[in-house]
Amino acid sequence: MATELKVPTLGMDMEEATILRWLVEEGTEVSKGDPVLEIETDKTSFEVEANGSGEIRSLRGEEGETLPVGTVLAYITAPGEEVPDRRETEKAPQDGNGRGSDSASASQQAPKRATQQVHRTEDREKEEPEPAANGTRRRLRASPAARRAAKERGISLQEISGSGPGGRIYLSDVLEVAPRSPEAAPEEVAPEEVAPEEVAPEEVAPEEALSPGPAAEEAPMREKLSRIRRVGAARTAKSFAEVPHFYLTRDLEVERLLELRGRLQEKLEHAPSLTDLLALATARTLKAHPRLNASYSQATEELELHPHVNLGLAVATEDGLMVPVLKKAETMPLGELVPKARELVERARSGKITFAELTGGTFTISNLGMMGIDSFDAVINAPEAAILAVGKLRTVPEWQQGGEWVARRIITVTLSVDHRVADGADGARFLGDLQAAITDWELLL
Amino acid sequence: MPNGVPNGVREITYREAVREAMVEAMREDAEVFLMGEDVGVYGGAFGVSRGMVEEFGEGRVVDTPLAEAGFVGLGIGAALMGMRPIVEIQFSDFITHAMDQLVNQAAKLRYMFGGKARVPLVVRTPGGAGTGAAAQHSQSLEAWFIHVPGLKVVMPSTPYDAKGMLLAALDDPNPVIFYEHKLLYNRKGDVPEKAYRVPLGEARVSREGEDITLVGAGLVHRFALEAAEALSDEGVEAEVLDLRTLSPMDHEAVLRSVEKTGKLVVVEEDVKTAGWGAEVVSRVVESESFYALDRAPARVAGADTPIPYNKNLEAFIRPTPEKVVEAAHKLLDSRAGVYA
Repeated sequence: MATELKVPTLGMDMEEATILRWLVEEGTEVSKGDPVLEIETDKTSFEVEANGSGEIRSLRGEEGETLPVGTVLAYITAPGEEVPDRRETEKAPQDGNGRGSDSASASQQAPKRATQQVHRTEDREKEEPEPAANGTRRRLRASPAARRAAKERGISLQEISGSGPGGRIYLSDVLEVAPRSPEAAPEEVAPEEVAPEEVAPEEVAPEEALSPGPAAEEAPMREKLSRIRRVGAARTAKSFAEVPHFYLTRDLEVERLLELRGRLQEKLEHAPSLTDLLALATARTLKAHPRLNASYSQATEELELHPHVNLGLAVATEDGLMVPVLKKAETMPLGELVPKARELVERARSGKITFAELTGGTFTISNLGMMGIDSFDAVINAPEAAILAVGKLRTVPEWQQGGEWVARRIITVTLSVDHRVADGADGARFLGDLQAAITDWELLL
Repeated sequence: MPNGVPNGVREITYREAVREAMVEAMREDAEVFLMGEDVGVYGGAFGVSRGMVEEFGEGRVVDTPLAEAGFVGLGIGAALMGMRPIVEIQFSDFITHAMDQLVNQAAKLRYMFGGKARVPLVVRTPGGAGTGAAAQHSQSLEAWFIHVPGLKVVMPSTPYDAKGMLLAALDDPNPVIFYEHKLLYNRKGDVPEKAYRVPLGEARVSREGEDITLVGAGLVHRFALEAAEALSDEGVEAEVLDLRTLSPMDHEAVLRSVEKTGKLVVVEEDVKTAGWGAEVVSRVVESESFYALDRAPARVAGADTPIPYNKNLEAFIRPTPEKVVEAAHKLLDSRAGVYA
């Protein structure tokens, strides 16, 4: 029985994926677990592993093509096995015996396979204009309305990622890229079609009516958003609209934290940054503050108190904000947390992060201190209950009771909290405990 | 309800609306008469002509033998001589007996006599399934007659249109096949008492919407409307078009709607293969409005099979509002699994 290699699903909300790169070709021998292709979702890119051992057959799907989850990309067949669902069922090479050890037979087979590949390519090209039975190998498909709209707007369909099955482009996909067609607009409503009484005279100021409109070079540039930015736009908008945010700002004294970092820098190869130490302290402090490590369910009017602290780390990447998640961060010793955090950040920046590493967060830390920000208010990464926004390390004067000014080193943090989940006092207690933790590390033990 | 409806609007059944049109026409014009199997004393197999023989007598409400070819031919002859016959075919399945009369005579004579002969014949006949009447009493054969130039084919879906279109058909100088549906006879609707005409060849927008166009006629037009209501609950606003006349087909109305929505589902009760829905879709894809299509058009039609007697099987092969909703989902579905 041939194994179907399909576009995998990595989460409930994953519906489609784009093929980035094939790592195998028709006829490649693979073992279960071998990487066979790289695909990209709206969150991340990752490698798909072979789900069986054998020969890659009937490979379909081009690089750059977006396909729905579950689409069959290829069959992995055992030696001698026929590929399902092909019109010309070629006999697979009968190479059950002496493979590898018998170099003569292997070299005899090599040219044979090459010929087969040529045939396959031809067959494929012949098939292309028809809808493929398995719905994968296709020419670029766009609805007539999408084609017309793209033409009117001077957009190439190649620039548009289709949202339909098999990456089919619909009108809505074109409109998303270019909502209006400046040339087409006047055609849509011919002047004589507008009844005079429909145009209120005061609405058309003469000078506006006569002005030729912005010159072409003054028109705004249009930038197509990356998938990450599109998802981010939707999520932040939803969170900011639906989650009742409140903000608690506090200066954290970090004198002891800096001392600790100094000591660790001498002792450890991978010295922790202030962010690492804050992450560790936050994760462990959250254990005692379950309401800040929770989610509100509108449907059931219940709180979900999460058993572990899965700590999201906001990372700015070229494609937009990503939040890789340190799973069970409260259980991690420093020696584990530091390299793991660094790896996650690095993989997020290089686009190699996996879908699983981006999901399941229960609390997020966002640090803009290194970019010179004193303090800021962050949008909650719903359905998490809170996010901690970390500002830069600053030295401020403080009036001592003894009657003198002393220099204090502080970091200003702002905790954004979902008011449905926790109240101001909950957040204030958490920040108090966080201050205590970074002052007196023994409290975390 | 169109504007300018006269006073005296009542709610009556489709059956009563058809009868009222016949009665009013016969009172007004002595040349109008009704002919068919059991239309007289029995009042018609579906009771449409009940009471008419009492008013007009057996000379104008004529019971015929079971001989469709004969009495349709009789009707054609009467029409040629200037009368306005209404011929009832008891079940539209029986129209097969009269095919030569309708196709080779009624449809051709005006043309072949250079316009000097006219056949103002109206053939009323109930079609459609859903009554458990099995393969020989349930068919929807209306598409056959669309294929014959010279015949008009109408299929009103409301009592209002039934009366107005039957009166318009009687005015028409050409033969008109007037399709009723057994399951429409008891449906009620507002109908003015006075005579009025609904022009043949004009479709009607029965529900406005922006998202998808549903085109129906006759009974299944109601299925389209019901589907539109269900879709509306999901936030999809369907535009519903009642074709009313299948030939000549008001494709301009379909194109206008498709230009707006970009998506088309045709709902028809006849079998899908070479059904009239194919004609609707063809006229869209042949036109400039092809470029307004954002999805491949779909047809919700009867299965390509004789109508089964078994009621579950019969329901299975007929269009239903649920099947229309399902087709709309499939069409609107931009991503796999959204409605799965």
